[in-house]
Amino acid sequence: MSDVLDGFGWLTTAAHWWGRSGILRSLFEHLWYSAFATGLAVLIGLPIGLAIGHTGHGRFVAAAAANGLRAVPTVGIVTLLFLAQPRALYPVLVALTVLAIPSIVLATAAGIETVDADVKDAARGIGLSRMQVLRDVEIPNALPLIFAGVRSAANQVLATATIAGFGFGLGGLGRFIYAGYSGRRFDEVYGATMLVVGLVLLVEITLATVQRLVVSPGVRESSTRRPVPLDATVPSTLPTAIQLGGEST
Amino acid sequence: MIGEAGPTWSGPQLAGNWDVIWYYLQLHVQYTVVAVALGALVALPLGYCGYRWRRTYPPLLTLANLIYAIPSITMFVLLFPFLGITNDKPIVVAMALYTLVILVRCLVEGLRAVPQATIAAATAMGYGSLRRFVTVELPLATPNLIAGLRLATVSTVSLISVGGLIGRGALGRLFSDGFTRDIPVEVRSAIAAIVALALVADLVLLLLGRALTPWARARVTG
Repeated sequence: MSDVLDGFGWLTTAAHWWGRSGILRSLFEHLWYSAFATGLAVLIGLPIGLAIGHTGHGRFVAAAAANGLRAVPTVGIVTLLFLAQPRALYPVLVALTVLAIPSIVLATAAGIETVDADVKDAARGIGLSRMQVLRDVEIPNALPLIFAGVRSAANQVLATATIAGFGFGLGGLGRFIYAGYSGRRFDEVYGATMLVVGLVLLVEITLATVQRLVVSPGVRESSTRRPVPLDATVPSTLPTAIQLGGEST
Repeated sequence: MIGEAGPTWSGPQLAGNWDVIWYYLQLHVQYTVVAVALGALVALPLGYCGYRWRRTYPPLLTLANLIYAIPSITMFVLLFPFLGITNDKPIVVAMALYTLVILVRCLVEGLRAVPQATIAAATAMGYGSLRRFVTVELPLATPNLIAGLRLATVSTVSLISVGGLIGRGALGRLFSDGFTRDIPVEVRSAIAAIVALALVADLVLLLLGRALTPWARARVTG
């Protein structure tokens, strides 16, 4: 256990923070790889999820494809692409994006699908077009689940981005873990791990805050039959245009 | 790079290496089964706790999330003192720990979806809380549980290969070996084997879930 605490020693040594392969630079690399991959996955996955959820078509195919993508080993993809083009950065970005897409597609589709059929019906009934229903009713109602998908994708990507530094020499916080492992400097391994876990927590809190600001309070209450830890206590400050789905009980 | 035991890939081609793939595939199946079973064994009491005492659920979930956030190599290093450095046990145990984030959540969500009326009926028939849990609530949570097991199994199959980074981890060893010896086809074969194994395992669990929940189909057709 003292090894783990030595991680703090490594972390608080100023010399480790600066330079070309210092903590600051690695932290930045780790963040931008993850943000890029998650962002790209949202750009790709969100429209697909919306289309599936809205039309109800392609659900089975999407679930199968998402499962297939999940089965693809990230390390394998990076290794393969890296062999084709050594020292290139894109293998890691591609692999991380592939990792993030399934959660986002499935969560989005599920979110749209589980919007109360009566609510959609009412929206159609008052004359909204299909696109308006999607934009003003289905998406706001599905936001909690969409956010859940994005959060779990971001979590996974941040944790997995460490492989960039494992043997491939592409930086990120993984470089310390790999170097520490190879050189039997376990304080470095634990110190870098604390940074990764801290980063995951920080991003989680940030996304939870964004979610609280963006999701309509009416939707939040109805969709949280389960108590959501951080979100339920603080009232939202941004009322959105339509607050549907307040269940009678 | 490949460890002491196990066959080594020969030459830059696929031909003649099927037995190598087969050997590590078997190892991969073994690790997956043990890891998911171990994860389920731990998730069951945790899930029960999170379901029974609502307040414990958010911290349990956060804990599982944090465990998941620990990079695999660090997890191996943390487990080495307990499980030894020369075998693959740390990898299997690490995978079991990673499944918790999926299994605990699915179990609790599944249990919460059991209708209150059913629970009340069981109570009225004189079921104690433990007997009711085992014979009524848990079986009714089967669909979610199977969904969780499917997800956990698929991700475990692909995640075990990170063991390749330290020269272990069943089919993952072919990644590191293919990497150091520059044999793309070795890496490609291992990826194909892993994806195939994951899909087969997923199908098996899907069918198992169907067999265990005849009422779900009856509702659809009837």
